[in-house]
Amino acid sequence: MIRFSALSDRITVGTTQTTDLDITTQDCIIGSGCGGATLALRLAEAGRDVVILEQGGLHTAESGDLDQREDDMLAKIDGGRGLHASEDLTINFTYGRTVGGASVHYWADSYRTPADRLDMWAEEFRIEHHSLAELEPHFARIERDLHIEPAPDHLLNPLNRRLEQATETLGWHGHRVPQARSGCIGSGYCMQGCAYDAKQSQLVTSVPRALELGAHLICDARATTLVRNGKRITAVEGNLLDRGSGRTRARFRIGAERVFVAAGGFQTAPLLLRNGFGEELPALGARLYCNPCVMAHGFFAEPVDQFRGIPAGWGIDQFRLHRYDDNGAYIEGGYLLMPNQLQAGTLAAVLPGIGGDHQTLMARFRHFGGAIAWIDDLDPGRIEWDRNGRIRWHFSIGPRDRLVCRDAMRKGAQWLLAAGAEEVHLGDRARTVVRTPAELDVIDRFDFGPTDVVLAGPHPAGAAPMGRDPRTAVVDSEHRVFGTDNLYIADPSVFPTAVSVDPSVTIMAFSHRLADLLSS
Amino acid sequence: MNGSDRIAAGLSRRTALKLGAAGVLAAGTAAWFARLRPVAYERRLRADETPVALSARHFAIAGALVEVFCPRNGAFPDGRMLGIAQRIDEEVWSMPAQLRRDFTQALDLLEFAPPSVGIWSRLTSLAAARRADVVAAYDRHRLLVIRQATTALRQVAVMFYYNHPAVWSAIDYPGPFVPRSLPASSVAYRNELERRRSAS
Repeated sequence: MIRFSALSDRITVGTTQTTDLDITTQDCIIGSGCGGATLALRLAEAGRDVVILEQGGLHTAESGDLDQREDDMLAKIDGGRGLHASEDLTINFTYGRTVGGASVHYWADSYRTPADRLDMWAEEFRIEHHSLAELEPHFARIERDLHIEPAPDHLLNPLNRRLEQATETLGWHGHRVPQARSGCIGSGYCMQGCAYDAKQSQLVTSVPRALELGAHLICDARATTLVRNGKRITAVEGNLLDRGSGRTRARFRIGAERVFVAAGGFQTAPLLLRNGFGEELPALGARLYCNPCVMAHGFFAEPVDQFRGIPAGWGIDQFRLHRYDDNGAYIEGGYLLMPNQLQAGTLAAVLPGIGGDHQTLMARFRHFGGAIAWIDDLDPGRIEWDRNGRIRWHFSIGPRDRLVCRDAMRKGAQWLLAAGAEEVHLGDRARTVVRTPAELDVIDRFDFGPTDVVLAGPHPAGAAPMGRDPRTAVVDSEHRVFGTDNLYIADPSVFPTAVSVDPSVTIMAFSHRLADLLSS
Repeated sequence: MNGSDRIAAGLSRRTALKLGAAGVLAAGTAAWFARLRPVAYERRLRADETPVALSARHFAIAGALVEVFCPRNGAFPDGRMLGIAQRIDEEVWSMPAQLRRDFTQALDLLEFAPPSVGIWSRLTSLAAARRADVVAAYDRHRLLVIRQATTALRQVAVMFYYNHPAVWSAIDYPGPFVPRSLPASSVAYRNELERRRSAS
């Protein structure tokens, strides 16, 4: 178990701070998720003086904070306590606000960036220095550091095993999902933060390693202002928050030679927008991808206990890429398909129905097991910092993604039926239930509009894209914000599109690459 | 998507909530509104319920919705008896001011929207069975904003309900492996709740 108590001299806990902080450092990193923590580790390894700012608190297994209750953990580690959504409520957004960022609640699925995606970014968006060959050594190190291996048999729950067999029945192509775990006992509470330090989140890997090398972590620290002098950012200012009330306890000012914004795909663009960068960089916040998740819920005669084991030990990659006919009409694909894992509160929130009808479904909790599709979205939303100082995430399912969502739901339901589900609940307001593949045509009528079905958006990208031209991009290929000398972005905001697989390894690899570029 | 949906979908969530609330509010009468004294809502609170973040009115509306979303039903316990309305109040206490305004507007919208489904009453004034019918009608309402408010409140209520240990036996859920550790926000809320109860 990671002993943060032994690193306490490297940690400032904002919620107990009573006086203002004024610190000077070489490198200040805003955010401690996959992007920020990885970069902090690399910069600390290079001997740099590093300060990591994290708006969330420090919640650790050592202290017993990670208590496996959904509502408690949403309050501790989720950026919006589970309540943030797009403006029209089409999609619920989940992101990290805790030391370790979203990796504390991620599923530990760990894919290298597909070569086709890196090629597309290079060709269409003119990104340099991030080819497969240039990222290869970083992928290898990440896989070593995070103990990434294909999911082993003993961690698969009954739902995963059924869906692995169903893949063969359908003649589809699947694989054991690469997992970042060490000593996992398969409790099933990955999304609530691992209480055993087995999931290899940044909380138990890069953050403590960076602290051991001398980095300084300030948690409960909300960065608000990038102090600018010409092309240089001279300091980061903000508030130290009381974790109980959310009120400001004190202020901080971090003077820095270089500033790295790694606040995550939902929060980095708003920070830059509130600091006026939108006037110079029209691409800032202009695109938002989020990997919308489409679900179908199978009911099985026997318990499948999808809430235990690891979430997705088995996945279908056959449909990762969009397929079109010769006329450019959509055929299928554009998503990864996996077993779902939902604890009781979340399953209740996504199943339709009211009162007794809903309870009738929930009474069969142990028999429900779902499929989830991570859509490689093509129709972006946008992020706005409005005149009242409020972040607005605009995101609806566009016409191209609607076709993909339909195909993904159809394939997910088909998969569940092949796995032995007696019925599949599609989760729509009309409470549609299908029992045979022949009934799946009903999905062609689904619009995926607000309140039609519950969608989740866990993987933001694109709001501060990398590129060559400040009219269409926010950072150059060295992650530097156009028009500045020392302001960088190190999180998925810089990806020009979604990654098409879980983005965590790509985020980390880009931060490794940034560290290389800085040292060269 | 029908015409009203298209109109509503084109609005921002906040604007839609405002317009939707305004439309429903306009359907009321002066005499009806004269009855909206806080004491009328305070009477609808249970003895063990103490609003901290919500007003008595909003707390009572939340409680009325909890009774619909999480009723006593066979092995399932009564969500309101379990304190789910109080838990919603706690969540609102932790919300930023802007989100809190959205949330309370959604509660008001659902309270005053029964006329939109042909029932000339406030939601909290309806008997339980009638109230359940109205909320079911909200769930398939032609106005997007009413569906949005219903969905949002339902999701919040059931999330807290199914995280209550008293419900787990009804769904054969064995529960977590480790002891509970309240978030700092819950500790602070409970301290404030205790302070208010002591003061009264």
